[in-house]
Amino acid sequence: MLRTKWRRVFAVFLFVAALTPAALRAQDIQLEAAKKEGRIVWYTAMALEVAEKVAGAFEKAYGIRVELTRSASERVVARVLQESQAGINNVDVIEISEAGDFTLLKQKGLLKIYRPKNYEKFPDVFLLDKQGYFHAWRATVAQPVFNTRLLSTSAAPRSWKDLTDPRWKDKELKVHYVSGAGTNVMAALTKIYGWEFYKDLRKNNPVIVQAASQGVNVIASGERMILVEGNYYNTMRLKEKGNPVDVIFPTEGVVLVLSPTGIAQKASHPNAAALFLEYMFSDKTQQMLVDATRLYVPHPSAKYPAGMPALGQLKTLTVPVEELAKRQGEIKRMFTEIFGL
Amino acid sequence: MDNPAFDNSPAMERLSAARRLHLDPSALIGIGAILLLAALVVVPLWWLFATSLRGEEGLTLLRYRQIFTEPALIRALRNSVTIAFLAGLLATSVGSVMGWLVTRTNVPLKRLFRSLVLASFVTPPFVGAFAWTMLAGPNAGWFNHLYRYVTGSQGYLVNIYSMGGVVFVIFLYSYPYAFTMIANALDLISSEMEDASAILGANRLRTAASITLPMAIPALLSSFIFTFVHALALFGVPAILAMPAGFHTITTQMWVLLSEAPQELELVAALSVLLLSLTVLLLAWQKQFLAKRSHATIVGRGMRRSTINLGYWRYPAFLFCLFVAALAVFLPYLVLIKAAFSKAWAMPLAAENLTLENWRLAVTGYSATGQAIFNTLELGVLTGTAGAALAVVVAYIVNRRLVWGYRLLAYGSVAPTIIPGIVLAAGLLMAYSGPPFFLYGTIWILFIAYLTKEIPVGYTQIDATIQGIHVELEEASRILGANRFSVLKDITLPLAKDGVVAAWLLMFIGAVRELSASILLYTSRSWVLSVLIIDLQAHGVIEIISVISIVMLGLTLAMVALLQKLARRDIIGVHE
Repeated sequence: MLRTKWRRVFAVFLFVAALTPAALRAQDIQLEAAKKEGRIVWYTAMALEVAEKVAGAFEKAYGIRVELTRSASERVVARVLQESQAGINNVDVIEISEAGDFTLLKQKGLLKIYRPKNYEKFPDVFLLDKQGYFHAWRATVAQPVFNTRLLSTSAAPRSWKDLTDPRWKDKELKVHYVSGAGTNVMAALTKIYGWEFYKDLRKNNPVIVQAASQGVNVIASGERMILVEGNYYNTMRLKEKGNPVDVIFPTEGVVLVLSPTGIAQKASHPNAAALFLEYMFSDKTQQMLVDATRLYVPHPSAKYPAGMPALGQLKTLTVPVEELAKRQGEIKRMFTEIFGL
Repeated sequence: MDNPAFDNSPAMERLSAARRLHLDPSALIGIGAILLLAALVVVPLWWLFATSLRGEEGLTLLRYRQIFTEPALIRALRNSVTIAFLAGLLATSVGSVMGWLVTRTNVPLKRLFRSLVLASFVTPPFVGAFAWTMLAGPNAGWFNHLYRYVTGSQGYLVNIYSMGGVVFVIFLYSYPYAFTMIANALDLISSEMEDASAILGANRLRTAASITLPMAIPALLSSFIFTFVHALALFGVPAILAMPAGFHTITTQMWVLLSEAPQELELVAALSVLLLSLTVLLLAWQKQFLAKRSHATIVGRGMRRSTINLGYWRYPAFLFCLFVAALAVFLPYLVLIKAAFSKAWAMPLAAENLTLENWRLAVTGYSATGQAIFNTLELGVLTGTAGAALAVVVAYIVNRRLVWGYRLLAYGSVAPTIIPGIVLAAGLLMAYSGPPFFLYGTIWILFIAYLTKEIPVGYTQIDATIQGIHVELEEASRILGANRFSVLKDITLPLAKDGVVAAWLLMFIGAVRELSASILLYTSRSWVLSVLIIDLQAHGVIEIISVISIVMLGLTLAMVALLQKLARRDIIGVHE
């Protein structure tokens, strides 16, 4: 009995010992190839300051340059499609905040299967594509944000529904559908209230911004009082810098916004791209992301700071990927009809 | 103006006819320049036209029908026309009043106002629009703060995110065109008629209304049409002010159609053709209208002109000019500088709010900044150099009538003026992002766009310079055995040096501030400053954008100062 157990342990040990050098060698080869490629091109929809930070850390670690372009989710996708039509293989890694769009990229054959290490341990909600074309490397929750100097916490709205109150006329900001936060929230709220909700919101004359991060900046400046689709991580980033902004946890629940990442099928720097993705999903980077930005990450070992609500404890409204993909046309059409853009 | 040496001499005409047949090295350069010019103008327009008719199978007019049946597109068109009309009207009225005050009356500090008009002229409209969001945003804007402080009200006085806001900002940065056109026209109108009117007992107002105004009508009309066309083509101002307010103009609509999936190339092409036709029709109508009116009283330069004494009205007139200048230059620059050195732009100016961090962050925190500065300078230098070279060759050919159809060449050189930047860019995108030319994704497609857009500027400048050079000197050199190339190199160019340098700098400035074409043509490998400003705008980092705007303005103003020094005159063509 005891001997068989030890034998088994020994066998496992041998097995691991045999594998490790090979695995290391493979990694070395990949690292070597990645370094030879020298750079990667990253199209992202995440707040520019944060993206620059991740890119900078990667450059420092591997000496591989990251060229990044930040745009709203929808525009990132349009750019990828446009470039692929023109036969330009510029982008290596794509990362946006709207999973529905990634389905489109996958259908067009523009993505490559890639599974980062520890993939199996990630919570299901982050594994957006069963075939492994794309996974969320970060998530945040979308929720209303307000300026604490212009509005006291007790007077602030408590639900999404409250945002349609005429009291907030000329005081609100709304995010366009080109932004992942915008699309996700519209998909979730119309399931509860229908488009009537947005028709009522329109009566409050919201100013339209292109991205949630821009919206939070505008709220911080005091130009507007309430941002309809703010998000947790951008707000906390500004709040911790001393800006007068805070989030609202509406009674209906916050909307989970997952940010899919994938490698371009025709990436010009495939090895560097794989290395970058591995880096993005590594426990170190993911912990850095949590510490620096208050994002949620898939890595199970990540430690969240005190005061940041655990994802499991929040009442969240999540729209499945397939549904997002299916409803994109409707959301664009209705948004344009109601808000004029 | 035609050169009298040629006009009056049939012998000279024969001589130049004989010369046309004689090929020397300069002929090759000439032919090359003509082909290049044709390619620059014709290729993108042809692609637009062809793409607009492209259907699922064969040709179709469906896209054109779509424009007039889709409410969103009709709305965008209507918005554009309304904005352009109002901005043109406002710019022409204010610009011409200022032009008249500064050229014809004794309003104080004329020189200062000329400089300020020049400063508004070189301020990119999108930088102005951005600054005005801080001045007149309904809640945090300076004006509305002041308004609430003074009146105790909760509301706002002005909202820059509106149709009125767009019109206002476009007006602020296009009135210099009207100013220049009117000032130049008034320069050519003799004051004898005005004097006669005064002698016959009419007061100043009556004289202005019944003598000066009718004579200035062609110039007023021209400046209205010019500012109208200019306003129609702008992208940055509506992108910053109209889209947040929830409405599109034709240019922002075209951008959206190309920047969201799926791309609507055919529809954009049809919109482009429509926009271009509208512009051409307007200009054709203007030409016809002006042909009917000839003013024998417009006699040319060198006339005696009396300065009108405004009496006590000098001071309100002075304040009026100062007010316009403040709105276009002083206040926007001030708010940009404040934001660039603040931790939070909307906070009061206090020691704890001051920082240099934005400047460090603009350079080190955003990896695109360095590339954008480099690319912008590179493109500016390339455009200036290639543009000046091309313009010299073409203007020389046209002025010396070296080829048959030289008039066509002259038209071709100024034709790009009427092509809106975004239309040109759409055409280039279609022409150069597939075989045989893969230029999209490089800075070369931007270079082609800039060169095409700036050629009219360079050509007009160099054409005027070459007209001023007497042909006798060249003839003498030719008789002594020099070929045309060495004549151009040794005689004409040295004489035209100042004009060529001025053209170079003007084209450089034009390239640095270009936005409406760049927004469609840039990629992550070809950032330029103007696009970076719009991109960061969508990110909301106002303090950083202020820093980059100041860098851009500094670059432009330095070039203008250099130009003024070299050319010893105002670059917008108003003589003292």
